[in-house]
Amino acid sequence: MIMFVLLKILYIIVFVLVSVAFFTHAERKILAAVQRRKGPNLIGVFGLLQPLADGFKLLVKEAITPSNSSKTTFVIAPLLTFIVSLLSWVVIPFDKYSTLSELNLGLLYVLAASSLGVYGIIVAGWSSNSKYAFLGAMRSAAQMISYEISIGFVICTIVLCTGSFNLSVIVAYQQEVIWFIVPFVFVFMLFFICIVAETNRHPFDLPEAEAELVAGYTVEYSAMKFALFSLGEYSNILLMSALTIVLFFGGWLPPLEILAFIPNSVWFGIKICFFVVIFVLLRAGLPRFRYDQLMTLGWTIFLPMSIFYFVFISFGLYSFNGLPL
Amino acid sequence: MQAYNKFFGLSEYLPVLVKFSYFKEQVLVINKSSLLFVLQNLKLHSLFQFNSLVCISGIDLLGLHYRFSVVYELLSLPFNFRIRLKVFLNEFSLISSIAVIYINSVWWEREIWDLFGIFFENNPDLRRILTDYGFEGFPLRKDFPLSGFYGVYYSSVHKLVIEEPVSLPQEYRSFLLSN
Amino acid sequence: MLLKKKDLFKQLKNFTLNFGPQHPAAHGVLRLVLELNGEIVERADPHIGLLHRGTEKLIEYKTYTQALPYFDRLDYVSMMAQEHTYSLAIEKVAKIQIPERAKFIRVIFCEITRVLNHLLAVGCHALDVGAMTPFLWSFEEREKLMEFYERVSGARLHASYIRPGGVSSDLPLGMLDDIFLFCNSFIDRLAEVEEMLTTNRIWKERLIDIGIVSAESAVAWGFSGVLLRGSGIPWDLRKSQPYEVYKDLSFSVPVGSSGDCYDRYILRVEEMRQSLNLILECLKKIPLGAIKSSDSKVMMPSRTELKKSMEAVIHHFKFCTEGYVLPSSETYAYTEAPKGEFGVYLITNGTEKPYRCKIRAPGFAHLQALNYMVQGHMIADVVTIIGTQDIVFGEVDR
Repeated sequence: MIMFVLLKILYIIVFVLVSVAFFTHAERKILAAVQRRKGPNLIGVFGLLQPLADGFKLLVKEAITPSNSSKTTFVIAPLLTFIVSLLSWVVIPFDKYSTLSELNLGLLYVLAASSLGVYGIIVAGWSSNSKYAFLGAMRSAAQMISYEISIGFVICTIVLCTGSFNLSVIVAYQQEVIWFIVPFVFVFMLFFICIVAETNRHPFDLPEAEAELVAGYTVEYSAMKFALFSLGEYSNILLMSALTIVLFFGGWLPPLEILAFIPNSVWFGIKICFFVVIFVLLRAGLPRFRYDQLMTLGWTIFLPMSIFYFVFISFGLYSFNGLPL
Repeated sequence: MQAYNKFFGLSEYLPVLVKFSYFKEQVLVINKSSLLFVLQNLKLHSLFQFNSLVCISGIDLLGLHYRFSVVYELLSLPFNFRIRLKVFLNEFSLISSIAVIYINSVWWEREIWDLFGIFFENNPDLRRILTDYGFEGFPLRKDFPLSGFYGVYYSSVHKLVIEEPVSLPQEYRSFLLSN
Repeated sequence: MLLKKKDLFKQLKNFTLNFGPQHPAAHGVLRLVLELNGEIVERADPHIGLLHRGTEKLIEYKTYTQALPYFDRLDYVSMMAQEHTYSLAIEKVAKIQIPERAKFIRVIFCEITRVLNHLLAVGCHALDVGAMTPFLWSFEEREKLMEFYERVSGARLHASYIRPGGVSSDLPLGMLDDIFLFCNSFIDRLAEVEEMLTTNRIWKERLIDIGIVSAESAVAWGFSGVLLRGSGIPWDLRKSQPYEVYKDLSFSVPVGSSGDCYDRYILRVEEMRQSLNLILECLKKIPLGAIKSSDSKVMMPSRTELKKSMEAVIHHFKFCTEGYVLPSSETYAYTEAPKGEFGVYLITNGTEKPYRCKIRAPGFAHLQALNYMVQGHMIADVVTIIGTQDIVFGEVDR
């Protein structure tokens, strides 16, 4: 029994890591296509073995530890980030009976795990003992916390409609009634932008911007530790896309009944790919926000909007007796 | 042509030593003690209005009694007119900085101090600007050789960047063919 | 001696950040020491000179022809503009007239250089602010323009093409047609880049009201070019003190109103369009004829003459070994380089080498005002302001 669970865990971890590797490759290729050039295309057919080469390079690179850093916490920080980013994958439903662990408070668990991710960043910036890293870590942490609140309110909105924190129940609800994207388009757009900000992704990536702080909190990290940070960041992006899909796009449900011959988990994969492409296109097309503009946006625009939607929808549901029991 | 005539009329009132023109460019030579007065007038007088300082250059006239010359290039945007002012100095004289009149003169004067060694009094920020941090000497003077005195190299023996006197394996040849 | 209370408190020093020489957005080698109060910049102290190559000293040891390539390498993104200024200086001193065709070719290449420079300026500015795509699109267009440089001179980047007396060689066949084709397609490329940036809300938020320079400050700080026009002063050397054939060409000079970074960005894009119009007009008006002056005091004899007359051989020998001699005088030549007013103050003393050649680079004057422009802004804005001043260290440090 335990072996079976361990096998499932291994299966999910391998799936996530391989997806992250190919996400890095897809990002480079899509960016290149937008910029009228070819991305990596020498290693393997269409450069498909590039992430393998990158991983190998990072493995054999010399791991430099600054002499003034606190050694233990310096190593713990990337580990913390990476592990926490993998934690939330246990509750994501890939198919009808395919969740690793069907928690009744699945959404709350996901929120809690993403909040833990902030610790990894703070520890990284602190232990690097460098002005740039410290500044970057503080900004990054503050940004993540600010946008998590708006995410929380949007999640509450969805939970109001379905009546349960359980992700599989949310998907089942969408199967019965309608995908949440249809009534909640604006809520989805708000949620998506908050996700981009939460994962420190362009156009909200000032804390790790090259032009300002040259890689922010990860500036003192090299080789495998840096790779762990990268993996953690990309895994977070995939996780947040998966969350968006589960909450708004019907999880593993096919859009039309006639297309149901494609297995459900493949539909899940296709939808994640769609979001990956959107993340990359955002990076290709937009300039960066300045830090104070970012924080103003988070606190004075997104937070009131998400609260407003929450209150509006709850009043709507209440007046039409639609509140779940 | 009109501005040219008007200018020559008005500059009778300024303490100018010599006035000449090269290819329709007006050059005034003034005494360094009347520098501030002349520039103040040129900038603020409503019939001159030379409101933009274009450039300050230094010239080393090695061998002459007044060895250095500082040249101010001014531009009047309202009247679309340019003028050049020259001040001659000898090696040990100071010249007053015009930073109170034209705020953008600070860097130009720093450059002349760095490359020629002409000291500007009352310059708010007279440090080196173009040469290396520990550089000694004034490179653009005519008695400073082209290859300099010290070279900065990475020494793999000491594993450091060190400064060594320049060793020229071949004597520096100067081609003076105009004879 | 009583101890005063204020002496017991420690002096608060501002947080000093070294925006070091090695930095992806420092546009070359700029060491900027920033004194910060939280995130607001109190003082910015640029340390330059890390790319100082001693150009002025070296020019004093070279003949006039040998000194020409130094000017290419000053502002290495807009090469022919500097060569042009130097050639104008020598032509003034030597009192030579250049043929009409040479003037038109020079104007065409000056405007191509202006487009080259503004493409890089806008592209790199966008890259520093965060938009990475217009940078690559601009560089693709720059490649096409550098192909023109290569066809006409042999070198993509440092073409010593504009020489005293005219240009070094005539345009190859078909070149003008290709320039025409390029101009037609470039308008669409420019519209694409503008679409990415001009109406983008994030771009506008990053650039509007940043680095505002009033008209009086702009003149007081010695600005020229786009920075002066962005603050509302309609000063363009091509219109006010024209040189070459600019008197006969019709183009308009865009002028900004509020003096912030957004205005300057719009000005640069508009100037690219006006340059295209200029190039098209020159393509229509360019006459056939000689491309080098025939004044034998400064120019070498042609190859046909070399084969016929002994005097031409001696002339050629003298010019190749010793170089031509200019009478003793001085001049200040200036052009509207893409970055501002580029000036060459040339002092000759009757020998074959210049006595003193002072280079007035617009970047030097603009960088001086950096402290003034970043007061009260944040670190992210420092990068925006350096980008809008269009600093290239080749010309600042010489």
